[in-house]
Amino acid sequence: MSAQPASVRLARPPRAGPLRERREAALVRDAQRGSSDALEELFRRHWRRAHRAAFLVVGDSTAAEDIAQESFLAAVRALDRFDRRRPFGPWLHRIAVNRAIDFARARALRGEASLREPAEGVEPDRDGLSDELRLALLELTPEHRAVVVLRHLLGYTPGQIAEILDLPRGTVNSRLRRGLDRLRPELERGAP
Amino acid sequence: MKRDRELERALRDVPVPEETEAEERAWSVVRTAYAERGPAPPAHRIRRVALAIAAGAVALAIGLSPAGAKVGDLVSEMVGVGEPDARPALRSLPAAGELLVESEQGPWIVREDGSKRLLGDYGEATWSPHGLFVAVAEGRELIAVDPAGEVRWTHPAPARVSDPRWSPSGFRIAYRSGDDLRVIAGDGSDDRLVARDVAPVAAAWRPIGDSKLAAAPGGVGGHVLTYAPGDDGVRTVDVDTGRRVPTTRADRRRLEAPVSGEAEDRALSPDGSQVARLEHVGARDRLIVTGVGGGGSVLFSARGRLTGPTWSPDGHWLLVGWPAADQWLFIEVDRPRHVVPYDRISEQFDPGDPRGAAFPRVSGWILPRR
Repeated sequence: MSAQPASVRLARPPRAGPLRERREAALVRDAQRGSSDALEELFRRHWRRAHRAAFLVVGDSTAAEDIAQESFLAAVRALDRFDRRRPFGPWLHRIAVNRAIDFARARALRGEASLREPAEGVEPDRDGLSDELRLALLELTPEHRAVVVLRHLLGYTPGQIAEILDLPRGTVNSRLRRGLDRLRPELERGAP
Repeated sequence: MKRDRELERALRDVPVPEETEAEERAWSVVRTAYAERGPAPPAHRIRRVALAIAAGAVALAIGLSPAGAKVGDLVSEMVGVGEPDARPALRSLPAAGELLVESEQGPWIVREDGSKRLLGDYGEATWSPHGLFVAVAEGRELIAVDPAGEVRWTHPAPARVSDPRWSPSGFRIAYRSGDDLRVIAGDGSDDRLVARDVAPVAAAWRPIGDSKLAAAPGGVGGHVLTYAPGDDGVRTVDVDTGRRVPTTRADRRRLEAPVSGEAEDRALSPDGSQVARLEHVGARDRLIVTGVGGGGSVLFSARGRLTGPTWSPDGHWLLVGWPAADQWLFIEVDRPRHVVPYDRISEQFDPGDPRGAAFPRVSGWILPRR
Protein backbone atom coordinates (compact mmCIF):
# COMPACT_ATOMS: atom_id res chain seq x y z
CA MET A 1 0.00 0.00 0.00
CA SER A 2 1.64 3.19 -1.07
CA ALA A 3 1.39 6.43 0.81
CA GLN A 4 3.04 8.43 -1.91
CA PRO A 5 0.92 11.37 -3.02
CA ALA A 6 -0.90 10.32 -6.15
CA SER A 7 -0.05 13.48 -8.03
CA VAL A 8 3.65 12.61 -7.95
CA ARG A 9 3.11 9.34 -9.76
CA LEU A 10 0.55 10.52 -12.26
CA ALA A 11 1.60 11.03 -15.81
CA ARG A 12 1.47 14.62 -16.95
CA PRO A 13 -1.67 15.91 -18.67
CA PRO A 14 -1.83 15.18 -22.40
CA ARG A 15 0.19 17.47 -24.60
CA ALA A 16 -0.65 17.95 -28.20
CA GLY A 17 2.94 18.14 -29.42
CA PRO A 18 3.67 16.33 -32.67
CA LEU A 19 6.63 14.50 -31.14
CA ARG A 20 4.46 12.92 -28.47
CA GLU A 21 1.83 12.00 -31.04
CA ARG A 22 4.43 10.47 -33.33
CA ARG A 23 5.87 8.45 -30.51
CA GLU A 24 2.46 7.27 -29.49
CA ALA A 25 1.56 6.40 -33.08
CA ALA A 26 4.74 4.35 -33.27
CA LEU A 27 3.83 2.56 -30.05
CA VAL A 28 0.38 1.76 -31.40
CA ARG A 29 1.92 0.52 -34.65
CA ASP A 30 4.35 -1.70 -32.76
CA ALA A 31 1.60 -3.00 -30.51
CA GLN A 32 -0.49 -3.78 -33.58
CA ARG A 33 2.46 -5.76 -34.91
CA GLY A 34 2.70 -7.82 -31.74
CA SER A 35 5.11 -5.95 -29.47
CA SER A 36 4.04 -6.46 -25.87
CA ASP A 37 6.65 -3.92 -24.79
CA ALA A 38 4.90 -1.29 -26.87
CA LEU A 39 1.56 -2.29 -25.40
CA GLU A 40 2.97 -2.08 -21.89
CA GLU A 41 4.31 1.39 -22.58
CA LEU A 42 0.87 2.47 -23.78
CA PHE A 43 -0.71 0.84 -20.74
CA ARG A 44 1.66 2.52 -18.28
CA ARG A 45 1.20 5.89 -19.94
CA HIS A 46 -2.56 5.80 -19.74
CA TRP A 47 -3.64 3.46 -16.95
CA ARG A 48 -3.51 5.78 -13.99
CA ARG A 49 -5.37 8.60 -15.61
CA ALA A 50 -8.07 6.30 -16.98
CA HIS A 51 -8.38 4.52 -13.61
CA ARG A 52 -8.56 7.79 -11.68
CA ALA A 53 -11.09 9.24 -14.10
CA ALA A 54 -13.30 6.17 -13.72
CA PHE A 55 -12.95 6.33 -9.93
CA LEU A 56 -14.00 9.97 -9.81
CA VAL A 57 -17.04 9.26 -12.00
CA VAL A 58 -18.28 6.10 -10.24
CA GLY A 59 -16.96 6.75 -6.71
CA ASP A 60 -16.11 3.09 -6.20
CA SER A 61 -12.56 1.82 -6.50
CA THR A 62 -13.50 -1.78 -7.32
CA ALA A 63 -15.83 -0.70 -10.11
CA ALA A 64 -13.27 1.83 -11.33
CA GLU A 65 -10.63 -0.86 -11.57
CA ASP A 66 -13.04 -3.07 -13.54
CA ILE A 67 -14.03 -0.23 -15.84
CA ALA A 68 -10.47 0.87 -16.56
CA GLN A 69 -9.35 -2.72 -17.05
CA GLU A 70 -12.24 -3.49 -19.38
CA SER A 71 -11.54 -0.31 -21.31
CA PHE A 72 -8.01 -1.50 -21.93
CA LEU A 73 -9.28 -4.94 -22.89
CA ALA A 74 -11.69 -3.31 -25.36
CA ALA A 75 -8.77 -1.31 -26.71
CA VAL A 76 -6.72 -4.49 -27.12
CA ARG A 77 -9.61 -6.19 -28.93
CA ALA A 78 -9.98 -3.24 -31.29
CA LEU A 79 -6.27 -2.55 -31.64
CA ASP A 80 -5.90 -4.05 -35.09
CA ARG A 81 -8.41 -1.68 -36.60
CA PHE A 82 -7.34 1.40 -34.69
CA ASP A 83 -6.45 4.31 -36.95
CA ARG A 84 -2.92 5.31 -35.95
CA ARG A 85 -3.46 8.85 -37.17
CA ARG A 86 -5.73 9.34 -34.19
CA PRO A 87 -4.34 9.86 -30.69
CA PHE A 88 -4.63 6.84 -28.42
CA GLY A 89 -5.46 8.70 -25.17
CA PRO A 90 -8.77 10.30 -26.19
CA TRP A 91 -9.85 7.00 -27.72
CA LEU A 92 -9.19 5.18 -24.47
CA HIS A 93 -10.67 7.96 -22.34
CA ARG A 94 -13.80 7.92 -24.47
CA ILE A 95 -14.26 4.24 -23.73
CA ALA A 96 -13.44 4.52 -20.02
CA VAL A 97 -15.49 7.61 -19.23
CA ASN A 98 -18.53 6.48 -21.18
CA ARG A 99 -18.39 3.11 -19.45
CA ALA A 100 -18.09 4.84 -16.11
CA ILE A 101 -21.14 6.98 -16.89
CA ASP A 102 -23.12 3.92 -17.95
CA PHE A 103 -22.07 2.05 -14.82
CA ALA A 104 -23.05 4.93 -12.55
CA ARG A 105 -26.39 5.33 -14.32
CA ALA A 106 -27.11 1.63 -14.15
CA ARG A 107 -26.35 1.55 -10.46
CA ALA A 108 -28.57 4.54 -9.86
CA LEU A 109 -31.34 2.79 -11.77
CA ARG A 110 -30.95 -0.28 -9.63
CA GLY A 111 -31.43 1.96 -6.62
CA GLU A 112 -28.02 1.34 -5.15
CA ALA A 113 -26.59 4.13 -3.12
CA SER A 114 -23.36 5.69 -4.23
CA LEU A 115 -20.43 4.07 -2.58
CA ARG A 116 -18.60 6.67 -0.65
CA GLU A 117 -15.83 4.48 0.51
CA PRO A 118 -13.02 5.92 2.51
CA ALA A 119 -9.69 5.76 0.81
CA GLU A 120 -8.35 3.02 3.05
CA GLY A 121 -4.66 2.45 3.13
CA VAL A 122 -3.86 5.81 1.65
CA GLU A 123 -2.45 8.66 3.64
CA PRO A 124 -5.00 11.43 4.02
CA ASP A 125 -4.40 14.52 1.95
CA ARG A 126 -2.56 17.23 3.81
CA ASP A 127 -5.51 19.58 4.00
CA GLY A 128 -8.30 17.07 3.63
CA LEU A 129 -9.59 18.94 0.59
CA SER A 130 -9.31 16.10 -1.88
CA ASP A 131 -11.57 13.64 -0.12
CA GLU A 132 -14.18 16.29 0.63
CA LEU A 133 -14.00 17.35 -2.95
CA ARG A 134 -14.51 13.77 -4.04
CA LEU A 135 -17.63 13.54 -1.90
CA ALA A 136 -18.90 16.83 -3.31
CA LEU A 137 -18.21 15.47 -6.77
CA LEU A 138 -20.40 12.46 -5.97
CA GLU A 139 -23.31 14.81 -5.33
CA LEU A 140 -23.29 15.62 -9.04
CA THR A 141 -24.91 13.40 -11.64
CA PRO A 142 -22.57 10.99 -13.46
CA GLU A 143 -22.87 13.11 -16.59
CA HIS A 144 -21.76 16.26 -14.76
CA ARG A 145 -18.96 14.41 -12.98
CA ALA A 146 -17.67 13.10 -16.28
CA VAL A 147 -17.48 16.56 -17.80
CA VAL A 148 -15.64 17.95 -14.78
CA VAL A 149 -13.21 15.03 -14.77
CA LEU A 150 -12.52 15.26 -18.50
CA ARG A 151 -11.88 18.99 -18.22
CA HIS A 152 -10.00 19.27 -14.95
CA LEU A 153 -8.29 15.91 -14.54
CA LEU A 154 -7.65 14.86 -18.12
CA GLY A 155 -7.24 18.37 -19.49
CA TYR A 156 -9.55 18.26 -22.48
CA THR A 157 -11.09 21.38 -23.94
CA PRO A 158 -14.89 21.72 -24.00
CA GLY A 159 -14.80 21.03 -27.74
CA GLN A 160 -12.85 17.83 -27.22
CA ILE A 161 -15.19 16.79 -24.40
CA ALA A 162 -18.17 17.35 -26.67
CA GLU A 163 -16.50 15.01 -29.15
CA ILE A 164 -15.68 12.37 -26.52
CA LEU A 165 -19.14 12.32 -24.98
CA ASP A 166 -21.07 12.97 -28.20
CA LEU A 167 -22.68 16.03 -26.73
CA PRO A 168 -23.34 19.52 -28.07
CA ARG A 169 -20.66 21.92 -26.93
CA GLY A 170 -23.26 24.10 -25.19
CA THR A 171 -24.30 21.14 -23.06
CA VAL A 172 -20.68 20.56 -22.07
CA ASN A 173 -20.29 24.20 -21.09
CA SER A 174 -23.46 24.26 -19.03
CA ARG A 175 -22.55 20.99 -17.27
CA LEU A 176 -19.11 22.38 -16.51
CA ARG A 177 -20.58 25.56 -15.12
CA ARG A 178 -23.11 23.74 -12.95
CA GLY A 179 -20.50 21.30 -11.75
CA LEU A 180 -18.08 24.00 -10.78
CA ASP A 181 -20.80 25.98 -9.03
CA ARG A 182 -21.45 22.93 -6.89
CA LEU A 183 -17.77 22.31 -6.15
CA ARG A 184 -16.86 25.93 -5.48
CA PRO A 185 -17.71 25.90 -1.73
CA GLU A 186 -15.37 22.96 -1.21
CA LEU A 187 -12.61 24.68 -3.14
CA GLU A 188 -13.06 27.90 -1.17
CA ARG A 189 -13.05 25.97 2.09
CA GLY A 190 -9.71 24.50 1.14
CA ALA A 191 -8.21 27.78 -0.07
CA PRO A 192 -5.57 29.39 2.16
CA MET B 1 -8.06 30.44 -13.20
CA LYS B 2 -6.76 29.96 -9.69
CA ARG B 3 -9.84 27.95 -8.82
CA ASP B 4 -9.28 25.85 -11.96
CA ARG B 5 -5.72 25.05 -10.87
CA GLU B 6 -6.90 24.18 -7.37
CA LEU B 7 -9.51 21.86 -8.78
CA GLU B 8 -7.00 20.21 -11.07
CA ARG B 9 -4.60 19.68 -8.20
CA ALA B 10 -7.35 18.39 -5.94
CA LEU B 11 -8.58 15.89 -8.54
CA ARG B 12 -5.04 14.66 -9.09
CA ASP B 13 -4.58 14.29 -5.32
CA VAL B 14 -7.79 12.44 -4.51
CA PRO B 15 -6.52 9.16 -3.05
CA VAL B 16 -7.55 6.10 -5.07
CA PRO B 17 -7.50 2.96 -2.93
CA GLU B 18 -4.98 0.33 -4.06
CA GLU B 19 -3.97 2.38 -7.05
CA THR B 20 -0.65 0.63 -7.61
CA GLU B 21 -2.01 -2.85 -6.93
CA ALA B 22 -4.90 -2.24 -9.31
CA GLU B 23 -2.47 -1.22 -12.02
CA GLU B 24 -0.47 -4.42 -11.67
CA ARG B 25 -3.58 -6.59 -11.57
CA ALA B 26 -4.94 -4.89 -14.66
CA TRP B 27 -1.66 -5.15 -16.54
CA SER B 28 -1.55 -8.86 -15.85
CA VAL B 29 -5.04 -9.29 -17.34
CA VAL B 30 -4.41 -7.00 -20.31
CA ARG B 31 -1.08 -8.66 -21.09
CA THR B 32 -2.74 -12.09 -21.06
CA ALA B 33 -5.55 -10.92 -23.32
CA TYR B 34 -3.02 -9.39 -25.69
CA ALA B 35 -0.99 -12.60 -25.80
CA GLU B 36 -4.13 -14.64 -26.53
CA ARG B 37 -5.48 -12.44 -29.31
CA GLY B 38 -3.43 -14.28 -31.95
CA PRO B 39 -1.23 -12.85 -34.65
CA ALA B 40 -2.43 -9.59 -36.08
CA PRO B 41 -3.56 -9.79 -39.71
CA PRO B 42 -1.43 -7.66 -42.00
CA ALA B 43 -2.85 -4.17 -42.31
CA HIS B 44 -3.00 -4.34 -46.10
CA ARG B 45 -5.20 -7.44 -45.84
CA ILE B 46 -7.69 -5.68 -43.58
CA ARG B 47 -7.75 -2.76 -45.94
CA ARG B 48 -8.23 -5.05 -48.92
CA VAL B 49 -11.16 -6.82 -47.25
CA ALA B 50 -12.75 -3.52 -46.27
CA LEU B 51 -12.29 -2.16 -49.76
CA ALA B 52 -13.74 -5.34 -51.25
CA ILE B 53 -16.80 -5.05 -49.01
CA ALA B 54 -17.23 -1.38 -49.82
CA ALA B 55 -16.69 -2.03 -53.51
CA GLY B 56 -19.24 -4.83 -53.43
CA ALA B 57 -21.74 -2.57 -51.74
CA VAL B 58 -21.12 0.18 -54.26
CA ALA B 59 -21.39 -2.26 -57.15
CA LEU B 60 -24.68 -3.53 -55.78
CA ALA B 61 -25.94 0.01 -55.36
CA ILE B 62 -24.96 0.82 -58.90
CA GLY B 63 -26.80 -2.25 -60.08
CA LEU B 64 -29.92 -1.21 -58.22
CA SER B 65 -29.79 2.48 -58.83
CA PRO B 66 -31.81 4.32 -61.43
CA ALA B 67 -30.24 4.76 -64.82
CA GLY B 68 -28.11 7.83 -65.08
CA ALA B 69 -27.04 7.97 -61.45
CA LYS B 70 -23.54 9.27 -61.07
CA VAL B 71 -20.98 6.84 -59.75
CA GLY B 72 -19.31 9.65 -57.84
CA ASP B 73 -22.49 10.33 -55.91
CA LEU B 74 -22.85 6.69 -55.01
CA VAL B 75 -19.35 6.43 -53.67
CA SER B 76 -19.68 9.55 -51.61
CA GLU B 77 -23.00 8.48 -50.17
CA MET B 78 -21.93 4.97 -49.25
CA VAL B 79 -18.55 5.83 -47.83
CA GLY B 80 -17.89 4.05 -44.58
CA VAL B 81 -20.16 1.06 -45.20
CA GLY B 82 -18.33 -1.96 -43.88
CA GLU B 83 -15.25 0.02 -42.91
CA PRO B 84 -13.92 0.24 -39.37
CA ASP B 85 -14.49 3.62 -37.73
CA ALA B 86 -17.17 4.57 -40.27
CA ARG B 87 -18.51 6.86 -37.62
CA PRO B 88 -17.08 6.67 -34.14
CA ALA B 89 -20.40 6.68 -32.36
CA LEU B 90 -24.09 6.88 -32.97
CA ARG B 91 -24.59 10.63 -33.27
CA SER B 92 -28.13 10.95 -34.51
CA LEU B 93 -30.93 9.01 -36.13
CA PRO B 94 -31.70 9.88 -39.75
CA ALA B 95 -35.43 10.11 -39.02
CA ALA B 96 -37.52 11.30 -36.11
CA GLY B 97 -38.24 8.92 -33.25
CA GLU B 98 -36.54 6.87 -30.58
CA LEU B 99 -35.08 3.38 -30.66
CA LEU B 100 -35.50 0.68 -28.08
CA VAL B 101 -32.43 -1.54 -28.13
CA GLU B 102 -31.88 -4.81 -26.26
CA SER B 103 -28.33 -5.59 -25.19
CA GLU B 104 -26.62 -7.94 -22.78
CA GLN B 105 -26.70 -5.14 -20.22
CA GLY B 106 -30.41 -4.54 -20.67
CA PRO B 107 -32.66 -2.36 -22.82
CA TRP B 108 -31.53 1.09 -23.93
CA ILE B 109 -33.47 4.01 -25.31
CA VAL B 110 -31.68 5.89 -28.09
CA ARG B 111 -32.98 9.37 -28.73
CA GLU B 112 -33.00 11.15 -32.06
CA ASP B 113 -29.85 13.10 -31.17
CA GLY B 114 -27.98 9.83 -30.54
CA SER B 115 -27.96 10.13 -26.75
CA LYS B 116 -28.92 6.94 -24.99
CA ARG B 117 -30.05 5.66 -21.64
CA LEU B 118 -29.81 2.23 -20.09
CA LEU B 119 -33.16 1.34 -18.51
CA GLY B 120 -31.80 -1.31 -16.18
CA ASP B 121 -30.75 -4.91 -15.93
CA TYR B 122 -33.75 -6.40 -17.75
CA GLY B 123 -34.40 -8.85 -20.58
CA GLU B 124 -36.81 -8.35 -23.48
CA ALA B 125 -38.43 -4.95 -23.87
CA THR B 126 -41.30 -3.41 -25.84
CA TRP B 127 -42.51 0.16 -26.28
CA SER B 128 -45.94 1.30 -25.22
CA PRO B 129 -47.67 2.73 -28.32
CA HIS B 130 -46.80 6.34 -27.59
CA GLY B 131 -43.42 5.74 -26.02
CA LEU B 132 -44.61 6.73 -22.56
CA PHE B 133 -43.52 3.39 -21.06
CA VAL B 134 -41.52 0.30 -21.79
CA ALA B 135 -42.65 -3.16 -20.70
CA VAL B 136 -39.72 -5.38 -19.82
CA ALA B 137 -39.39 -9.03 -18.92
CA GLU B 138 -37.09 -10.13 -16.15
CA GLY B 139 -37.33 -13.76 -15.13
CA ARG B 140 -40.86 -14.33 -13.84
CA GLU B 141 -41.63 -10.65 -13.65
CA LEU B 142 -43.28 -8.30 -16.10
CA ILE B 143 -42.24 -4.75 -15.32
CA ALA B 144 -43.33 -1.36 -16.67
CA VAL B 145 -40.72 1.37 -16.59
CA ASP B 146 -40.81 4.92 -17.90
CA PRO B 147 -38.20 6.20 -20.35
CA ALA B 148 -36.14 7.52 -17.44
CA GLY B 149 -35.87 3.96 -16.17
CA GLU B 150 -38.17 4.45 -13.19
CA VAL B 151 -40.19 1.35 -12.36
CA ARG B 152 -43.94 2.07 -12.50
CA TRP B 153 -45.21 -1.38 -11.60
CA THR B 154 -44.06 -4.98 -11.31
CA HIS B 155 -46.18 -8.04 -11.89
CA PRO B 156 -45.06 -11.51 -10.76
CA ALA B 157 -46.14 -14.03 -13.42
CA PRO B 158 -46.63 -17.79 -12.89
CA ALA B 159 -43.64 -18.68 -15.08
CA ARG B 160 -40.84 -17.08 -17.04
CA VAL B 161 -42.05 -14.01 -18.97
CA SER B 162 -41.29 -13.56 -22.66
CA ASP B 163 -42.49 -11.66 -25.74
CA PRO B 164 -44.36 -8.80 -24.06
CA ARG B 165 -46.39 -6.79 -26.59
CA TRP B 166 -48.25 -3.59 -25.74
CA SER B 167 -51.66 -3.18 -27.41
CA PRO B 168 -52.11 -0.23 -29.79
CA SER B 169 -54.54 1.33 -27.30
CA GLY B 170 -51.95 1.19 -24.54
CA PHE B 171 -54.45 -0.42 -22.16
CA ARG B 172 -53.34 -4.06 -22.48
CA ILE B 173 -50.08 -6.00 -22.62
CA ALA B 174 -49.94 -9.52 -24.02
CA TYR B 175 -47.10 -11.76 -22.91
CA ARG B 176 -46.13 -15.38 -22.65
CA SER B 177 -45.58 -16.89 -19.24
CA GLY B 178 -43.96 -20.26 -19.77
CA ASP B 179 -46.18 -21.87 -22.43
CA ASP B 180 -49.23 -19.76 -21.57
CA LEU B 181 -50.43 -16.63 -23.31
CA ARG B 182 -51.65 -14.01 -20.83
CA VAL B 183 -52.92 -10.43 -20.97
CA ILE B 184 -52.61 -7.79 -18.29
CA ALA B 185 -53.98 -4.24 -18.13
CA GLY B 186 -51.55 -1.42 -18.90
CA ASP B 187 -51.51 -0.38 -15.25
CA GLY B 188 -50.39 -3.82 -14.10
CA SER B 189 -53.81 -4.99 -12.91
CA ASP B 190 -56.28 -7.63 -14.08
CA ASP B 191 -53.86 -10.30 -15.29
CA ARG B 192 -55.66 -13.13 -17.05
CA LEU B 193 -55.00 -16.29 -19.00
CA VAL B 194 -55.82 -16.20 -22.71
CA ALA B 195 -54.60 -19.64 -23.86
CA ARG B 196 -52.49 -22.53 -22.67
CA ASP B 197 -49.72 -24.34 -24.56
CA VAL B 198 -49.20 -21.74 -27.25
CA ALA B 199 -46.34 -21.86 -29.75
CA PRO B 200 -43.23 -19.88 -28.82
CA VAL B 201 -44.25 -16.99 -31.06
CA ALA B 202 -45.10 -13.46 -29.95
CA ALA B 203 -48.79 -12.64 -30.24
CA ALA B 204 -49.82 -9.73 -32.49
CA TRP B 205 -52.42 -7.05 -31.73
CA ARG B 206 -54.86 -5.89 -34.36
CA PRO B 207 -54.55 -2.11 -34.92
CA ILE B 208 -57.38 -0.06 -33.44
CA GLY B 209 -58.61 1.08 -36.86
CA ASP B 210 -58.78 -2.48 -38.12
CA SER B 211 -60.67 -3.56 -35.00
CA LYS B 212 -63.36 -1.00 -35.69
CA LEU B 213 -63.54 -2.00 -39.33
CA ALA B 214 -63.92 -5.62 -38.38
CA ALA B 215 -66.46 -4.91 -35.68
CA ALA B 216 -69.32 -7.36 -35.84
CA PRO B 217 -72.85 -6.54 -34.71
CA GLY B 218 -72.08 -8.48 -31.56
CA GLY B 219 -69.28 -6.00 -30.95
CA VAL B 220 -65.57 -6.58 -31.28
CA GLY B 221 -63.60 -4.36 -28.96
CA GLY B 222 -60.30 -2.64 -29.43
CA HIS B 223 -58.22 -5.47 -28.02
CA VAL B 224 -58.07 -8.18 -30.63
CA LEU B 225 -55.13 -10.51 -30.40
CA THR B 226 -53.81 -13.08 -32.87
CA TYR B 227 -51.61 -15.91 -31.65
CA ALA B 228 -50.28 -19.29 -32.68
CA PRO B 229 -51.77 -22.16 -30.64
CA GLY B 230 -49.49 -25.09 -29.96
CA ASP B 231 -51.61 -27.37 -32.15
CA ASP B 232 -50.78 -25.45 -35.32
CA GLY B 233 -52.81 -22.81 -37.09
CA VAL B 234 -53.61 -19.26 -36.09
CA ARG B 235 -56.30 -18.07 -33.70
CA THR B 236 -57.71 -14.60 -32.99
CA VAL B 237 -59.60 -13.54 -29.87
CA ASP B 238 -61.16 -10.44 -28.42
CA VAL B 239 -59.32 -10.55 -25.11
CA ASP B 240 -61.89 -8.35 -23.32
CA THR B 241 -64.75 -10.76 -23.99
CA GLY B 242 -62.76 -13.95 -24.48
CA ARG B 243 -64.62 -14.65 -27.73
CA ARG B 244 -62.91 -16.02 -30.79
CA VAL B 245 -63.16 -13.84 -33.89
CA PRO B 246 -62.31 -14.70 -37.50
CA THR B 247 -58.68 -14.34 -38.38
CA THR B 248 -58.18 -11.92 -41.26
CA ARG B 249 -55.35 -12.07 -43.76
CA ALA B 250 -53.96 -8.93 -42.17
CA ASP B 251 -54.01 -10.60 -38.72
CA ARG B 252 -52.08 -13.53 -40.13
CA ARG B 253 -49.60 -11.20 -41.83
CA ARG B 254 -49.01 -9.30 -38.58
CA LEU B 255 -48.31 -12.55 -36.74
CA GLU B 256 -45.88 -13.69 -39.43
CA ALA B 257 -44.25 -10.28 -40.03
CA PRO B 258 -44.89 -8.28 -36.91
CA VAL B 259 -44.42 -4.57 -36.58
CA SER B 260 -40.92 -3.28 -36.82
CA GLY B 261 -38.34 -4.75 -34.55
CA GLU B 262 -40.48 -7.53 -33.14
CA ALA B 263 -39.24 -10.32 -35.41
CA GLU B 264 -35.78 -11.59 -36.16
CA ASP B 265 -35.80 -11.24 -39.91
CA ARG B 266 -38.88 -9.40 -41.16
CA ALA B 267 -40.93 -6.34 -40.37
CA LEU B 268 -44.16 -4.80 -41.57
CA SER B 269 -43.93 -1.12 -42.51
CA PRO B 270 -45.79 1.34 -40.26
CA ASP B 271 -48.57 1.79 -42.81
CA GLY B 272 -48.81 -1.97 -43.35
CA SER B 273 -48.17 -1.71 -47.09
CA GLN B 274 -44.69 -3.25 -47.29
CA VAL B 275 -42.69 -6.01 -45.68
CA ALA B 276 -38.93 -5.79 -45.23
CA ARG B 277 -37.28 -9.17 -44.88
CA LEU B 278 -33.85 -10.69 -44.81
CA GLU B 279 -32.97 -13.51 -47.15
CA HIS B 280 -29.94 -15.75 -46.71
CA VAL B 281 -28.26 -16.64 -49.99
CA GLY B 282 -25.09 -18.63 -49.42
CA ALA B 283 -22.69 -16.54 -47.43
CA ARG B 284 -24.60 -13.35 -48.11
CA ASP B 285 -27.69 -11.76 -46.61
CA ARG B 286 -30.03 -9.60 -48.66
CA LEU B 287 -32.50 -7.00 -47.45
CA ILE B 288 -35.62 -7.20 -49.60
CA VAL B 289 -38.69 -4.99 -49.50
CA THR B 290 -41.90 -6.37 -50.93
CA GLY B 291 -45.35 -4.89 -51.32
CA VAL B 292 -48.25 -6.70 -49.70
CA GLY B 293 -49.43 -7.72 -53.15
CA GLY B 294 -46.07 -9.25 -54.08
CA GLY B 295 -43.08 -8.10 -56.08
CA GLY B 296 -40.06 -6.68 -54.38
CA SER B 297 -36.59 -5.32 -54.67
CA VAL B 298 -33.24 -5.89 -53.01
CA LEU B 299 -32.22 -2.83 -51.06
CA PHE B 300 -28.92 -4.04 -49.73
CA SER B 301 -26.69 -7.09 -49.75
CA ALA B 302 -23.69 -7.94 -47.63
CA ARG B 303 -21.40 -10.82 -46.84
CA GLY B 304 -22.39 -12.32 -43.49
CA ARG B 305 -25.53 -12.07 -41.42
CA LEU B 306 -27.75 -9.02 -41.28
CA THR B 307 -30.13 -8.47 -38.36
CA GLY B 308 -33.35 -6.58 -37.93
CA PRO B 309 -34.82 -5.00 -40.02
CA THR B 310 -36.58 -2.10 -38.31
CA TRP B 311 -38.65 0.59 -40.03
CA SER B 312 -38.47 4.25 -39.06
CA PRO B 313 -41.82 5.63 -37.86
CA ASP B 314 -42.23 7.59 -41.11
CA GLY B 315 -41.54 4.46 -43.18
CA HIS B 316 -38.73 6.12 -45.15
CA TRP B 317 -35.77 4.36 -43.53
CA LEU B 318 -34.81 0.83 -42.62
CA LEU B 319 -32.29 0.00 -39.92
CA VAL B 320 -30.41 -3.27 -40.27
CA GLY B 321 -27.59 -4.58 -38.13
CA TRP B 322 -24.45 -6.03 -39.67
CA PRO B 323 -22.67 -7.87 -36.83
CA ALA B 324 -19.66 -8.92 -38.93
CA ALA B 325 -18.81 -5.26 -39.50
CA ASP B 326 -20.16 -4.28 -36.06
CA GLN B 327 -22.28 -1.67 -37.81
CA TRP B 328 -25.81 -0.40 -37.97
CA LEU B 329 -26.86 0.65 -41.45
CA PHE B 330 -29.65 3.15 -41.97
CA ILE B 331 -30.92 2.64 -45.52
CA GLU B 332 -33.25 5.09 -47.20
CA VAL B 333 -36.00 2.97 -48.70
CA ASP B 334 -36.71 5.18 -51.72
CA ARG B 335 -33.02 5.87 -52.33
CA PRO B 336 -31.29 2.60 -51.38
CA ARG B 337 -27.87 3.82 -52.39
CA HIS B 338 -28.13 6.27 -49.52
CA VAL B 339 -26.78 4.26 -46.60
CA VAL B 340 -25.74 5.84 -43.32
CA PRO B 341 -23.41 3.49 -41.39
CA TYR B 342 -22.54 3.68 -37.71
CA ASP B 343 -19.62 1.70 -36.37
CA ARG B 344 -18.67 -0.01 -33.09
CA ILE B 345 -22.25 -0.73 -32.18
CA SER B 346 -21.56 -3.64 -29.79
CA GLU B 347 -19.21 -1.63 -27.66
CA GLN B 348 -21.66 1.25 -27.40
CA PHE B 349 -24.45 -0.92 -26.03
CA ASP B 350 -22.45 -3.37 -23.98
CA PRO B 351 -19.79 -1.40 -22.20
CA GLY B 352 -17.82 -3.26 -19.61
CA ASP B 353 -18.41 -6.81 -20.78
CA PRO B 354 -15.08 -8.57 -20.31
CA ARG B 355 -16.21 -11.48 -22.53
CA GLY B 356 -16.57 -9.18 -25.50
CA ALA B 357 -19.61 -7.15 -26.34
CA ALA B 358 -22.57 -8.88 -27.96
CA PHE B 359 -24.32 -7.30 -30.94
CA PRO B 360 -27.48 -5.54 -29.75
CA ARG B 361 -30.97 -6.10 -31.10
CA VAL B 362 -33.31 -3.25 -32.03
CA SER B 363 -36.77 -3.98 -30.67
CA GLY B 364 -38.60 -0.89 -31.83
CA TRP B 365 -38.39 2.57 -33.42
CA ILE B 366 -41.30 4.82 -32.53
CA LEU B 367 -42.28 8.46 -32.51
CA PRO B 368 -43.00 9.23 -28.86
CA ARG B 369 -45.94 11.45 -27.95
CA ARG B 370 -44.89 12.63 -24.51
